[in-house]
Amino acid sequence: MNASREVVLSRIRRALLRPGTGHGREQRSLGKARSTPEHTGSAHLLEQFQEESARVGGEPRLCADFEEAVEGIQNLVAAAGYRRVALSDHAICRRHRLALRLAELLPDVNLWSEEGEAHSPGSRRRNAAQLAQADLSITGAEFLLAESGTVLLTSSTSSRQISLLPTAHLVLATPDQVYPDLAAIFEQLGTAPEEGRLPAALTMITGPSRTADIEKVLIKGAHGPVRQLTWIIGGEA
Amino acid sequence: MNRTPSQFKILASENVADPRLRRTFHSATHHALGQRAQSVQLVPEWEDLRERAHRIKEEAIEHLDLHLERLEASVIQRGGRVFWARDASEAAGYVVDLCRRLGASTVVKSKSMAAEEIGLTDALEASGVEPVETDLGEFIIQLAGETPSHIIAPALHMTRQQIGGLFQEKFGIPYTDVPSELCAFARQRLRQEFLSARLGISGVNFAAADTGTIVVVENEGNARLCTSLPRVHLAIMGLEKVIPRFSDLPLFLRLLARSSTGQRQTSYVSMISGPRREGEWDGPEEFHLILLDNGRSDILADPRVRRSLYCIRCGACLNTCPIYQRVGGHSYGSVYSGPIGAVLTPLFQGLEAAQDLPYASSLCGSCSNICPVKIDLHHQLLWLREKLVARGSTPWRERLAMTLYAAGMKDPALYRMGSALLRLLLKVAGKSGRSLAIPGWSSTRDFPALAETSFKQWWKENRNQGEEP
Ligand code: SF4
Repeated sequence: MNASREVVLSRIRRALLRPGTGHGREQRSLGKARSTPEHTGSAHLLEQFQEESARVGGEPRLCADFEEAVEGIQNLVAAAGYRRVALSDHAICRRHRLALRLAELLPDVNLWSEEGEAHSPGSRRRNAAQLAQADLSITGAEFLLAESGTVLLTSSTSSRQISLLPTAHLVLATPDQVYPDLAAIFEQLGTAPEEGRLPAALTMITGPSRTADIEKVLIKGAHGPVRQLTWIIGGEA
Repeated sequence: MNRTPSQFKILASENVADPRLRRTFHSATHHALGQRAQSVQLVPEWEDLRERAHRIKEEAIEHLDLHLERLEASVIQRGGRVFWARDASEAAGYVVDLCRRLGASTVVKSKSMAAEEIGLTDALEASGVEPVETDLGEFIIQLAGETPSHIIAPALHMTRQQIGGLFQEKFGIPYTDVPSELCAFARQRLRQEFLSARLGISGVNFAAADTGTIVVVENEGNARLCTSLPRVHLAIMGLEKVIPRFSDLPLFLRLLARSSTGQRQTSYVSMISGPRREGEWDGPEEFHLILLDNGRSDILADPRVRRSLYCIRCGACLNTCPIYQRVGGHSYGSVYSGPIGAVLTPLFQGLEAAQDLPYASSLCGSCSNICPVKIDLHHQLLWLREKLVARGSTPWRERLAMTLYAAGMKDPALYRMGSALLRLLLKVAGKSGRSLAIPGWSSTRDFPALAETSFKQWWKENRNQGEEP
């Protein structure tokens, strides 16, 4: 601990000896905090998620089952001419042996899977170089937020860079993951300090990467993915 | 370009006289205001949210010492390191030392007003480390050797042609002024830097004391790259960024995104709690957090301006300010512009050094109305004016005028005499075809015409009209 710690803290304490003033401020009595009666995965929430995601240039879609999603991936790769596809080690990919199936279905595509990649610092840079070359990455998500069309990923279930470096990022999710608002998600995740379930990185992704720094012109794909797709797969638990 | 807040009047009159800049700032600020209004309108409980946010900030700031200690403990518990910096040079020194230890010759940096405030890039350059700005707007103004002209959109003042010319000159690429091409070039160029840098530096939008989580809000993805790829991540925050609880975040995130750009949510929100954990694929091996005082404890010591520390840097008060809309960000000669800049800059740099800034306001109160954390900005500006007057820092003419005015307002006879005199003067001036010349005032506007007769006289002549039965 450095010497300035005490200096800064004692300055703050001295400053706070003078109590704050509410002068010039109109206090407002608060209404009730909004309650969110909706259940996760309700038809309305799915609709809202899709609407909000599409609004910000995301590409949401409902798939009847996993087969439809696999077919969808095939079509997506063919239509966009993707040559390199990266797969995350997320449970939803593993559960359906997505790596094996895609290897069969897409023999011409260079398929790279995070599964089995060492969890070591040395491998990080190697993986980053791989992922920076990828046209498409496929990951799962922990939660979907209907209010803003957002997907939430944690560093404990996928790497941070797989959803960031490739040109397009596809999230595979299930209806029960869709929540009405962020507070409900935090509750479910158990973010309170005593629960200690907060991963090192919790990332909210809303649509593709964007910038408006040049004359306020909106451009997709500033540094992160140019396309952000979220497919919600029915018939999944 | 080294601008200082003491040049406000000169810079402002230059910028006001530049039609292109006027158009740029007018359209950009109004565009942002429109977007904001649309998205705020969809939140019926908006006023409630503002009030809640104000109270949480009040709780955080009124017990700042406790929350900072808690934050420190939580960060350390998550395996991070915390450095307390009294001032700019101490903070910059820490970063420079860290670069030395890591043998880092370049660092990638995402947008941070605090880093801007302490002149971090200059300090790094001076010690032989190349700081690479990775936010597109920051990248552009770094190339141009400029400073940001808006909290949210740093390169707001530049045209696509200027940027195209700049890229051509600095990188030797063929000229283009197509924004998407310029952006694609920057993306590709910066990718290399991200993949090789050992240190990534980010700012902090919020820091939750109870979990030791720092939150970084952005649209481009460069902050995610800065905080995910390099071996070490260093975040720098002003002391006031601490909030008590992680569970306060949903509220602040809603307010921030909607107030600054009108988005429901920015493209990316990174909530980072310490370095990579055992079993994770990637993420930095070390996490450092700098807690920067640099004058904040002095602001805290004045209860009347303390609330300026609630600011979440959304930029809405800039957009809505009739002065900012016209003079633009560079006129303020400081990293913080607009109403919040007019409050913070004199507090950070000393009233004397920035004595025109508290006057860069019409006191219309639009800033206070729009502020998502309900800072009474126009009151704070008024208090700063009061301080300046008490110090006798105002020009002698103004003091003289105010003394005469005060005397006249207190004494009916003097008041009558004064107004008669003024009427006479104006009549004489009017006859000779000139308006009344008052130095420093009438050079840019005419003295308003006075009514033919005084109100008192009018009242005498008309009071009984209409009252007769
Ligand atoms: S003072 Fe309020 S409106 Fe202005 S930037 Fe800060 S939070 Fe936004």
